[in-house]
Amino acid sequence: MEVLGYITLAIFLGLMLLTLFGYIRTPVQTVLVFSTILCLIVGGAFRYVYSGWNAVVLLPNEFLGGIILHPITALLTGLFLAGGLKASGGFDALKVILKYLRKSPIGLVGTLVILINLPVISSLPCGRILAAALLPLLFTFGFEGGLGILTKSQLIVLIGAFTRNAMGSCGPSPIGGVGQIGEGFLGSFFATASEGMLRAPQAFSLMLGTAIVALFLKFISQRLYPNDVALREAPQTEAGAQFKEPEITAPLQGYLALVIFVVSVLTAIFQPFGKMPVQSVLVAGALIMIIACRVRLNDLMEGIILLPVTAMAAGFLAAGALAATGGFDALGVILNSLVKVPFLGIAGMLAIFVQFQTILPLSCARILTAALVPVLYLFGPAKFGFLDWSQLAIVMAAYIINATTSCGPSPLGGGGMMGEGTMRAETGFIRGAYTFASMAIMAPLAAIYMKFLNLSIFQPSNPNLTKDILTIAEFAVVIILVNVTLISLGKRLLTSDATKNFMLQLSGFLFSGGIAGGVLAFALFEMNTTTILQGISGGIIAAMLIALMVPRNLSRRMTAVLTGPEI
Amino acid sequence: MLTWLIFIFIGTISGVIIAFALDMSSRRELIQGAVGGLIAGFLMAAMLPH
Repeated sequence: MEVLGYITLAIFLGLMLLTLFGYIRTPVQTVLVFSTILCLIVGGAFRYVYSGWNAVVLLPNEFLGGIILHPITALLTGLFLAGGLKASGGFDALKVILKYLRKSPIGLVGTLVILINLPVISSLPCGRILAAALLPLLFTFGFEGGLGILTKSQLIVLIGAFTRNAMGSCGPSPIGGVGQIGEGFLGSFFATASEGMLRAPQAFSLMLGTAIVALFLKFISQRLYPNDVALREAPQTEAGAQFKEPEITAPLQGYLALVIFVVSVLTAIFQPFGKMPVQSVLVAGALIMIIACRVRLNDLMEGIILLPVTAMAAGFLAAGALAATGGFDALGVILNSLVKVPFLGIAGMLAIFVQFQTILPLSCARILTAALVPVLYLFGPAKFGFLDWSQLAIVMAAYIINATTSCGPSPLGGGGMMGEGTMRAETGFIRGAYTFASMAIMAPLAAIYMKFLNLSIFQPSNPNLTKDILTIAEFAVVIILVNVTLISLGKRLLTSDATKNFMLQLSGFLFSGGIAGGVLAFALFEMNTTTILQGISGGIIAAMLIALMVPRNLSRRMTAVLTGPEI
Repeated sequence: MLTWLIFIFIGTISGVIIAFALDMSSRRELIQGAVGGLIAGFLMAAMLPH
C-alpha cells in the first residue's frame, strides 16, 4: 500500500507543475478537482485489491473529513461585507480621506507610505478586494491617469509595492485569512492560537518585505526589464501645471459603511462583547449595512470573489484525497529522507519546506497551504517529532508568510498580475522582486518575531520564552542592511547582457537564501553551528529553485511594439 | 507595549525605505516617509491581538 502514496503524490505534484509551466491551460481549481478524482480512483482500486470493498466505501468519508469549514465560511462572510462596502461607496470615502491626508503635514510621501501599507492594516480576507478598489486610484497619480504627480519609475514602485502588500495581507486577516489554517493546527497545543497567533509575525515581515520590494523594483526590475512597462512619462512641456486634480467625492452612506465595516472588523478581532464566531459578527455587520446604508443583498453577494473560496475548497479536497490515499505519508517519508542527507538535516529540510509555495506559486496561497500545513504539523510532536511545539510555531510563522505571499508572483492568475496590468507591464515583471522579498526577508523575520516575542504572548506560562524586541530589531536591521547592500551592488553591476544579469541575480538570490536558511535554523535551534550550516545549505537550494523560475527576459512583443515601425 | 514599539520601529524604517525607493530622498521627504511609516506601524499594532 505504501506505493499508493507515492503514486497519488506524483499525480498531485505532476499536475501542479504541468499547470505552472503552462502545459495544462485550465483553472487550477479544475486541475485540483481532477487530481482529487484521479487520486480517489487509484486509491479505490488499490484498496479494493488489498482490503476489499468495505475499505473502498470508507474512502469518501476520509477525504471529505479533511475539509475545514471555518476559514471558508470566514472568507465568505469577509468578502460579503467587503461587497457592501464597495456597493455603498465606502472605497470612495476612503479615497476622500486619503486626499485630505495628502494635504496634511505628512505630505504626499507619507500618504503614499500609508497607502502602500493599507492592505495589511485592513487585513481583508483576499488582497484582491482592496487592490481592485485602489489600483485605479494609484494609476491616477501618473501622467496617463491624469494627476501627473509621479514619474513612470515612481508609479511602478508605488503600484508594485502596494500590490505586494495587498497580496500578502490575506495572511494575517482575522476574517478567513490564510494564517488561520496554520492557527487551527497550532490550536492543538496553544490554547489561544485561534485568536491570531500568526498575525503579528506575518504583518511584521510583510511591512519590511514591502519596503524591500519597492527598492528591488526601483533598482533591479526596472534595469532588468527596461522596455517591458508600457506606462508613459509625462512629456516635458506638459509636466506639472496643466493637470487638474479630479474631484473625488463619496456619498454619505459610503462613510457610514466604512464606519460599520471598521467596527465589524474590530469587533471580530477583539471580541469586546464576549466570544462569538467571526462569521456571526461579520454577518451582523452586513445586516446593519443593509439597513443603514440601503445596500441590497445582491450588492453584498457581488463582493464574493470566487477564486480564493474555490481555491481553498479545491485545496482541501486535494489535501483530503492525498491524506486518505497515503500521499502525505509518502511526502513525509521523502522529507524524512532529506533529513538524513548530512548537509541538510532537519534544519536544511525545513529551510526548503518553508519556501515551498514560493517555489511553486499558485493563483491562491490557500490551495497548497491547505494541503501542506497538515504535513508541517506532522513534523511536530504529533508524528515525526522533529520539532517541539514552540519550534513548530516558529516554522509555521515562516511557512505561512511565505505561502501567503505566493499568489503575488504566480503566473497562473495570481494577484500580482493585477499590479502588472495596472502598470502596463509584461507578465513576470514583478516576479523577481516579490519572490526575493518573500524568501530573503519575510520568512526569516517572521520566524525571529515568533521566537522572540509572540511565543511568550501565546504561552505565558512557559518561563523559558522571552520577550526580546531588541534582538528582533537587530535581526531586522541586519537582514535589511544585507539585502539593501545586495540590491545596491546589483544596481551597479547590471548591464544590458541578459544572461550575465540573470547569473548576477541568481548569485544574489543564493546569498540571501543562505542567510534566510541560517536565520531560520538559528530561530529553531539557536547557536548550533551544524544546524545553522544545514539551514544555510537548505536555504541555498530553495533560493536556487526560486531564482531559476524568475524570467531571464520578458516577452519581446512589447519591446517590438515600442521600438518597431508601427510607432 | 512591546508589540507597539516594534511595529512603530519597523514601520518607520519601512517608511524611509519606501520614500527613498520613490525617489523622494530630500530630508523633508524622508521624514515625511518615516512619519507615514510610523503611523502605518501604529495602526497595524492596534489591529493585533496583544
